[in-house]
Amino acid sequence: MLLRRSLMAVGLLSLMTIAGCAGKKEIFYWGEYEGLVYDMYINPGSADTTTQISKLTTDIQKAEAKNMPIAPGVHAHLGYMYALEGDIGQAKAAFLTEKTLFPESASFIDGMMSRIDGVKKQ
Amino acid sequence: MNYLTRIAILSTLISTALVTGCASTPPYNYEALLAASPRSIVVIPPKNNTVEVDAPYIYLSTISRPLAEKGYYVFPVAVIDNFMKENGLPTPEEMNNVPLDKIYENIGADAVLYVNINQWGQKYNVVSSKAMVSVSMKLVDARTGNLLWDGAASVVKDPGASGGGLVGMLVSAVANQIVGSISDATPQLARAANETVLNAPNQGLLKGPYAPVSNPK
Repeated sequence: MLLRRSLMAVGLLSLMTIAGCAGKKEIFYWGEYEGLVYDMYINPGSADTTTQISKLTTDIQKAEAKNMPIAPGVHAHLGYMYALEGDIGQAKAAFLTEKTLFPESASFIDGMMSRIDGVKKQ
Repeated sequence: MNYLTRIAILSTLISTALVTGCASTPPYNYEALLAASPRSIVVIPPKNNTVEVDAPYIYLSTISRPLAEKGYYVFPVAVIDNFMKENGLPTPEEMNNVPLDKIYENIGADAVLYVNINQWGQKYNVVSSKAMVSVSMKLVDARTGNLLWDGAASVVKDPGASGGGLVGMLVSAVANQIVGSISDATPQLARAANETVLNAPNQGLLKGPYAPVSNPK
């Protein structure tokens, strides 16, 4: 009986060690963001701006539905896609959302915003 | 010795192997990292020391998630890459030579992650073909240039081997989590390498500000 108990304890310990190494709850909702980054470099045909905007927008909605914070970079990446499409209004809105969610991005986003404005004035 | 005792001893041995396998090297010196306590990391597209031209950008698609899940703000990798290209840096090779003050001035990151890809993809020999990813990385303070943390990992996927040991287990565990149409094994191997290097006990990267305090892992 004692042996069986210690056996179980050992088994549990091993499981915990493995679980501690491999499985954990994630902080952010990632959706297709990393897959899109892969595709835009490796299979660019399957990741045009319209496709990316559609998938990223869906991911943002899914994150909200799951009540999880969206991954860092997703809104900024979305803003970049809007900028490539020439939709400056949506691009700026997405960049500002990134900055609101993640103040660490502020100086990079501010730079992007002023470059967008600079391009517009020309 | 009865059957049960043997199992008990065997289990203990396995557990010990797992635990010591994780903890035998002396702990990393985290003084500089703790002092700097960076909140944000910009990943420079990796320097490629292999002949596989796609390696840097396949790798770049695998690193945001594990870094951010450690609790750091990770700058959008593709947006940063494009920004550097627009500023006269056409390839990762050049991007890796940008002075730190320029990076800090334009991106405002607390820390910069430099990655070297040392092996990537299929390795053929007489008996089998193995897929392998080997990376080394270092995290540098963007203001001072101080080294905050570094690490390296190699992950092998050998379709010929049935067991594959702990590394094989790790790879298959990670591989099984990934769904989708990507048939290339290198993203999975890169993810396994990232998992290994970032989360190695006593050696991995410490948690950042977005990591929940209640969960000590």
